[in-house]
Amino acid sequence: MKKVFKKGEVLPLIGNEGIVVGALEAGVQSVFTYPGTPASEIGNLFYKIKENYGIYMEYSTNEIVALESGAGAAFSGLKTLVAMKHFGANVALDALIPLAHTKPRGGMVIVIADDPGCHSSAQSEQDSRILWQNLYLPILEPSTPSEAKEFTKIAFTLSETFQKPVIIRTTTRVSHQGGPVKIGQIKIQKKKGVFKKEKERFDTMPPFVLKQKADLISLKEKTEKYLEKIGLNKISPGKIKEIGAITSGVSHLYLLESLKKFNISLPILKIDSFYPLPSKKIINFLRKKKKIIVAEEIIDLIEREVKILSKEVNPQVKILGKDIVGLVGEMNTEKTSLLLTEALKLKYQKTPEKKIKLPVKRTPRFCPGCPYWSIFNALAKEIKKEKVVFTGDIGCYMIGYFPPFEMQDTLLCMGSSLGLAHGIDKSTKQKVIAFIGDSTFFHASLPNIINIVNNQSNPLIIIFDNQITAMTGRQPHPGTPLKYKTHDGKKEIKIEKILTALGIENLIILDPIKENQLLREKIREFLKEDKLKVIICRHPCRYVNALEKAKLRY
Amino acid sequence: MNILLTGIGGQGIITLKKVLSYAVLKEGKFFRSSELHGLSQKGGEVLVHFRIADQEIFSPLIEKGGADLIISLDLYQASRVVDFASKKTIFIVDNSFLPFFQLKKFSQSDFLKIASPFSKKIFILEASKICQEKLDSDVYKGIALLGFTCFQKIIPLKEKSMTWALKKVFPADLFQKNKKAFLLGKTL
Repeated sequence: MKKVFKKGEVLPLIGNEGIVVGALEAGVQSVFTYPGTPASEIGNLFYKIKENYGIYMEYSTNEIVALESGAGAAFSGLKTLVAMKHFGANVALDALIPLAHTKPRGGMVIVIADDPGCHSSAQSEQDSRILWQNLYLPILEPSTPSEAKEFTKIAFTLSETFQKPVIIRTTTRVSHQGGPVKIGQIKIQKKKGVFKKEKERFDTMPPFVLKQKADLISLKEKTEKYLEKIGLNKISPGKIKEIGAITSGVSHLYLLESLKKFNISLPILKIDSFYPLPSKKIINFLRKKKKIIVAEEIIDLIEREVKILSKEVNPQVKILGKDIVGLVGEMNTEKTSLLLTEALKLKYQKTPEKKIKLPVKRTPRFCPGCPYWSIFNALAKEIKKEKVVFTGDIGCYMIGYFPPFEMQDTLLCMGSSLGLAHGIDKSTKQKVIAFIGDSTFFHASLPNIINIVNNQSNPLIIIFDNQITAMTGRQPHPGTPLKYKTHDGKKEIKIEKILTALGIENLIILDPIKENQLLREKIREFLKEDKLKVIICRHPCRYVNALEKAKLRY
Repeated sequence: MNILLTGIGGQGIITLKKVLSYAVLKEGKFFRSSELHGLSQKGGEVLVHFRIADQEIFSPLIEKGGADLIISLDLYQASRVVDFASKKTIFIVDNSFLPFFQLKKFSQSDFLKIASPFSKKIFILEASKICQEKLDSDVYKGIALLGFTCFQKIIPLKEKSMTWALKKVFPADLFQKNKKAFLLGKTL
């Protein structure tokens, strides 16, 4: 098979592609993921190149399935990468915490991509680093695409050395940051793994799990030394001695930009490993300083640790961070400049506020020919939206929130439209319609649908089935038909067969574009009857083949 | 040089970014960019920050008021980013407007009213019209605008590197059409 990347070549890559190349250079053998922005391109690239490099890669049903399967591969000795967005880490958390107590035989790297500013995350602004308090696993934070590559390689070596999974935490502005990346030697290691039984490594039965926990915590010091030895968490010197900056991730770049603008040189400690934090280095860095600036994304986690450490060594030091820039929204150069202004009492000339108000934002809308548009159009024609509760979910049908339809009254997380519909139906006399997508159906809906059948509520469930995971880039899912180019030759699972097996009789499958009148009839029917109804609206996304492998170009 | 590329999801803004990236590397220069993906880009506004320099630069984002060049595939989208512009900003804007639910009409003069105070020079070009006439589709308009910026020497990249970049980004069949679109930039 043709190799995609050539050693020595400098390519323009985004952070997510950097992670893939880093994993290839580390000799990754198996990859498990569920798509989610800003992590999606990691899976997309592996999907396109897996045959070229003899890698096993799959789109798993959801993130916990990906993580557990990845753990199985790593327990069997294969170098494994699992990638997900921050909410995916919530889904996977049930397996992630015990997994931290085990000792994979192959290197295992887990990529978690946060989205400060909620650019592509409907639910909330979440800082996945906070997981460290339960995990005690190394968390590395790159700030550029080329660091994303290097840190992924380091993560694999670290994981193999200490026999623990290692986390790479990125944010949108790292995952989707473009920059030059030099390609190194790619290792190809095609071989089967072997699962060698060893309960103490892989089984977390109590009370042994407490011994495993003690081991896990004790790794902190060794890991810290190792990272120090390989040159992570560097201090760059500066001319001003009494003020210093501690930075991480992309915030490091914003601070450098501000320093350049003001022509100031400060000593900077760049935190590459959020866990273990280089505490000794931080303590030394704090000595003799009057002020410390902390620049990090989302929660003031490094800042709090720095405050605790300062009590010991320099209680007078003033620490400036989120109290200046706030806890909401992403970091940027304006914010790091504000921090500098405060610390150095500079006259920072903010760009004068424009007198004009920016015109309104163009909201997203359905692509031309989108089958979801036809579904909302049918709903709008048959229903006065004030009379019905619409529970929304995660997928392209969230566009129904915006004008002209404005049909989405709730939104929590993957699969939640069904739980909410059940709860509202049980608690009110109102009519409830739940929206759920096809990929979301497989990802997170089964326990909810079983609950609706078992505990008997009567919502209308509309399954928006465009046969692909459209919103994140048209990745295949378990229901994607074999006939599409993006299908991976897996077994196709039919949603209707699952629903029939659950005893749902009031089930209709229709094409929302070709059978729009029938859809309208079925909606009318539901408004009159008082029983559970499921309509599968099936019509392929117009861009169902967008992820076609032939389209790969570097 | 700080360049903002803007338009509407589906118009190929990310492709323009790729072409610029390859051309920059071909010339041994440095770049850092930032783009967004996901739901809000579906038929919504797309904004790519692209910074070129001879040596390493830091932030992937352009500050408010910090754009040297704004290339927009839609008049309205250009008006949406005037907070990134200043008296030193050059606008290169396609003379088209895709209506949306809240706004049915938006004219050249509407745009000029908003953007003029924050610009050094504004070019409103007939890229979609000419691409439609000569290449049967306005999908090439972004590449035509890139051609214009190159031939007018507004960006510090040579025609040769840009053509090389087009070859890297597009498969053979699409390369020919895009090269034609790029050359149409001369006539805009």
